[in-house]
Amino acid sequence: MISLDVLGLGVVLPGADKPADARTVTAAPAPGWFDVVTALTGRGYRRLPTACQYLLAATRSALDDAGDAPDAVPAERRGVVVGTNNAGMALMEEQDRSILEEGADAITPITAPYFAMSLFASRLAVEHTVHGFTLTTNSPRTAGFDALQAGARALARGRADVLVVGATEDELPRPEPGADGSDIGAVALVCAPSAEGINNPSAYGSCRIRNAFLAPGAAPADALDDAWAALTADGPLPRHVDAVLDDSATGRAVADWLAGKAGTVSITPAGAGCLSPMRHLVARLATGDDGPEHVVVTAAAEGNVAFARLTTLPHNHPQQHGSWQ
Amino acid sequence: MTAGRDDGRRVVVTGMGSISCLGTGVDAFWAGLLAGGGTPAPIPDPDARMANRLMYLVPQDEVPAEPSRLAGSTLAAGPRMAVAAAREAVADAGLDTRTRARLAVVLGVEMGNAGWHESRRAGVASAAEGATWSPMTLTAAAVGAALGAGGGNVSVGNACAASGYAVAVAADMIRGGEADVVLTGGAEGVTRVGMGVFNRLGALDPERCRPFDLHRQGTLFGDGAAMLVLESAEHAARRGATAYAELAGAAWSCDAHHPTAPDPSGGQALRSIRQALDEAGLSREDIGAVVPHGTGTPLNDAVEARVLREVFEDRCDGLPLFSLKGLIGHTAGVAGAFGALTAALLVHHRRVPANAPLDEQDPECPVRLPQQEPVPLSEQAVLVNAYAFGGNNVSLVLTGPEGAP
Repeated sequence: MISLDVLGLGVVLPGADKPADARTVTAAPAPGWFDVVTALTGRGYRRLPTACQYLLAATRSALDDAGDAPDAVPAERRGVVVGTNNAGMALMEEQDRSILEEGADAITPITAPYFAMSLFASRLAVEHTVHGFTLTTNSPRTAGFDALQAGARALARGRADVLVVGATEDELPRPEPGADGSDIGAVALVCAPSAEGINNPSAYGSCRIRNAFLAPGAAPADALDDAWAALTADGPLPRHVDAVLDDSATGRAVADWLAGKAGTVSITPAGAGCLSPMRHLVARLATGDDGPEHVVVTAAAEGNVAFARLTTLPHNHPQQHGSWQ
Repeated sequence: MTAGRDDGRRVVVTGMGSISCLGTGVDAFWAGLLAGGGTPAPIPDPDARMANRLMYLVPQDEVPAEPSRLAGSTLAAGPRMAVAAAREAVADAGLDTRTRARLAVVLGVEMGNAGWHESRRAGVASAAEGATWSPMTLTAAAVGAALGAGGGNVSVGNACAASGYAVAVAADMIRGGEADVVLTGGAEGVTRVGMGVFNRLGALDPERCRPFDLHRQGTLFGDGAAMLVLESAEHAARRGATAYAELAGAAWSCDAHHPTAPDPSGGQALRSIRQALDEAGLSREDIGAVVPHGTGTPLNDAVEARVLREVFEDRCDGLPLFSLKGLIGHTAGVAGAFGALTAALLVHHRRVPANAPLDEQDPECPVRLPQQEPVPLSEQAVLVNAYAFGGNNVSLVLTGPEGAP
């Protein structure tokens, strides 16, 4: 199974200043919790959509944390994969309100293209001169894990040598169902291919992803067993599973199915978006607590299910600072 | 440095499905292409306050009514069309229940269920339908639920190149041994926001989508869904399936240049074409036709034409382009999948339909666009390009399935 080494971590999260604290965030942060002027020095950032600002700032931190390794990689061998569900929803609401109330000419031109949420990854590519590829995943809730898996697959296929994998979300606009439970913020991981049997001394650890699909209302099927078996076949069973689930039929079915799969299973409510499971993944990598082997699992009401198997290593971050400029 | 066609398993197309302005089903699509394509009409949205409301629309009586719900969400036309095209593709491939249970789904979807969100804002749909989150890009999940497909379910959103990337991701899953069979493609419905933004950016043509025409003034969108069943050649052979084509190569690059405009140098688009050919193990002489991205926006078409001339040099004078968007509009996130589906049909039928007539070809776009009648596909392979906002470039190479084991 394809595996990624994680060389650097960065977060922009309300109430959590560093990756080790990413598991717990402020649910309804006060306006101004993120200061773009401080987080992103330089010109051209203030008018970007906020989820783009979060992503850029988290990536700067992750690249600083990763040290010099990414600098040596040519632009054509760099890749970006970003998972998001709601990064542009507030902007889209604003644009649609403009159309409904005044007409399309009232749309603000500078942010207009960001209605296409893949622009968030593209902006990151411009920032760090990434010519290998950018990819955006947007599956409900599993988009962040999908981004890691797509990145690992792309590295294995030789499409790049180093990646930034991110997840970014913004608060849903108030009329939108589920706005009260919005994921807010961003995480970023600098990743490289894992070499079989070799521990990268500068890595937090490695991660592998498998996903499956459980139709809403359906009983757990072979596909979940297949995914679990693929993740656990070649190593010790994880002592602990972090499950980031909602109260949907799919979430409940996955929670029931998990019973007995590991020593302990903790269930955390999932927010609207793909960030909550990625926060847990980042925190586990950063802290390595509860032993070296973990699984984080998440699921969406729509049926998407994804598992991340983490193998953490002793590490000494932050390392020397570097950048991709 | 990208792995080649023989590094891993070969990938063939064993099923296809579509719904477009040309009607429902792949047969209607091919017949419509041969008949000259569709014509744009105003979108049926009374709340779309904008100067240009033209799109190449799926006939309203052919937009499926079901499935209408997924979990807590009401499904708009995009996901419903996705399900219809997916069902056609899976039936066409002859996948049995056991194979479907582990079928992976990888779709390219940028706007997904935006139509429902827009209905809510306009007061047509009730916001009180649920207090729970209703994700916008649930199209792949709707397809997975409708088909009972329990394998991985992934939605890729690379703007107007989304489904081109999805096709490549699906192929990588098969080549890497993650899956034997993957349903891939894309679907998009009418979106008021998308139309409004393109109006605001001045990027829509007032008459029709006319790529490479001297008088083009922008693109015009189309809605619909295009699906392909990709399968390892071994798996297809084992169950006696017939392949339409082989997906022989796929490559990506990123301009990292501008949010909306392509890099005028075309350097990265050029690189993705050459890498796709390398991955396929083919040379430029093996390409018998190109399905270009060709949107009708002035700079995009000129850059792409220049890139094609750089790749094919003087062969460009005789190499037919099939400018698909001139017949079905720019189907946004589905465009790459429609390009791949069309390439599979060109390979299968061994001919290239006539392009929509141009008023006057742009001399800055010196490519061959046969407009009188179909021409034979003289070589074994077809190149497909899909580009997008943000400088996303994907190139695919499809060839005849004869060489597959």
